[in-house]
Amino acid sequence: MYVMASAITSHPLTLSCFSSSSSRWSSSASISSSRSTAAGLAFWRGPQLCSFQGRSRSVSRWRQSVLVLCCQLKKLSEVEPLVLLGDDAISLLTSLPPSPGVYAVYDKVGDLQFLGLSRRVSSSIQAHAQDLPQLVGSVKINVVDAPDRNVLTEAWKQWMEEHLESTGKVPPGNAAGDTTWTKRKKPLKPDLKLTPGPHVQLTVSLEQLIDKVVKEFKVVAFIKGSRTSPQCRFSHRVLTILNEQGVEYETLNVLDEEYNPGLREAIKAYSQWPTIPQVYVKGEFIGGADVLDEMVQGGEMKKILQD
Amino acid sequence: MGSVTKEDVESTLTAKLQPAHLTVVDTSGGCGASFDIEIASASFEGKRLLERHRLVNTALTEELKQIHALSISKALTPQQWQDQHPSTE
Repeated sequence: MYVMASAITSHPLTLSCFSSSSSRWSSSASISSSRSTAAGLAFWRGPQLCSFQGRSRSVSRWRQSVLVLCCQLKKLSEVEPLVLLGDDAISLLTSLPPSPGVYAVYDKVGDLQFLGLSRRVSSSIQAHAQDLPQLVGSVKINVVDAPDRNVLTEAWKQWMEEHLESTGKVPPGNAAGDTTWTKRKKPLKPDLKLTPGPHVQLTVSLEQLIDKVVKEFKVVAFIKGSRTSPQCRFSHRVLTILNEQGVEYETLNVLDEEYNPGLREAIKAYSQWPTIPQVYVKGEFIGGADVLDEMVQGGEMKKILQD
Repeated sequence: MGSVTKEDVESTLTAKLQPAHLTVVDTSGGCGASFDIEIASASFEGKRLLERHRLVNTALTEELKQIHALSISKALTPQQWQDQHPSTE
């Protein structure tokens, strides 16, 4: 028996920003969101019902390779391996397709260690490379541009069967009971709360509380929704970026009126920035989803997260 | 009430930032809820990305009250714009 790989992906994407105030439109939503938006997503904005036509740079960049790669499932043996070793490893890791697909991870001597499937291949492989550097030498990827999980599962099965036929062995990471590749290394941190709750009278201002939080922790993200279920695509994007950077960070849900009353407006005043999400590093406001995106691409992000 | 149009955003940004290049795309499907902006302006000279975005946000303070989502996909200096689009001019 082999064990179905459960994808280590980021949080399920919630596609609507339930807010009448402004929030930012990330230019690189994940491919799954782009598909839904292209189909004409409807969401409520106050009294108006709007239809979103999404557009995404990173998606269109990948769409070309998606066309090449995934019109059909290639045989595992026919996919070119991407070697994730040496000086190019980091740039290769950051340029993997943020798309659904199946992937095979080979160790440094070229033995297949694990067959996985993921809603977001890039995040899964980055997580593997981070958690199990000794087992990740190269990967083979087949993007599966289908929203249906069954299609992904079917693709995964085909690769598994092909491998079984040629070697007679289940990849070690897929053996029953082996959780090396599938378990989360660390449980997700709970969201921070600014106050103990509505029954407690505050003796300090919200601004002071915000100030304390952003100075106490190295990286803090103020988001709409919780870390486990962000309620806005931009917040989701920010979490994905921080996850991909492999950095420890704290989150605060600005929509939590019970424990963070008034935070949603207070944080905008604090940073003099009109939108949420907002990310702070070492006490300093660094930006929202768009700025973070560009900082990652320009390599600035790594720099400011160092030391 | 009246919602914000692409033209509103364009004219405000043109007046306040004198852009060398400006593209505003209404990504809301016409209801004025979200826009994607590419802008190149001499006002960005010597400023960090965050400050550039701040300039755009500040210029659009009024409009932002009604806009649901604003994405600034590019905020460049005219020189950077030229470097990225050598063939256009």
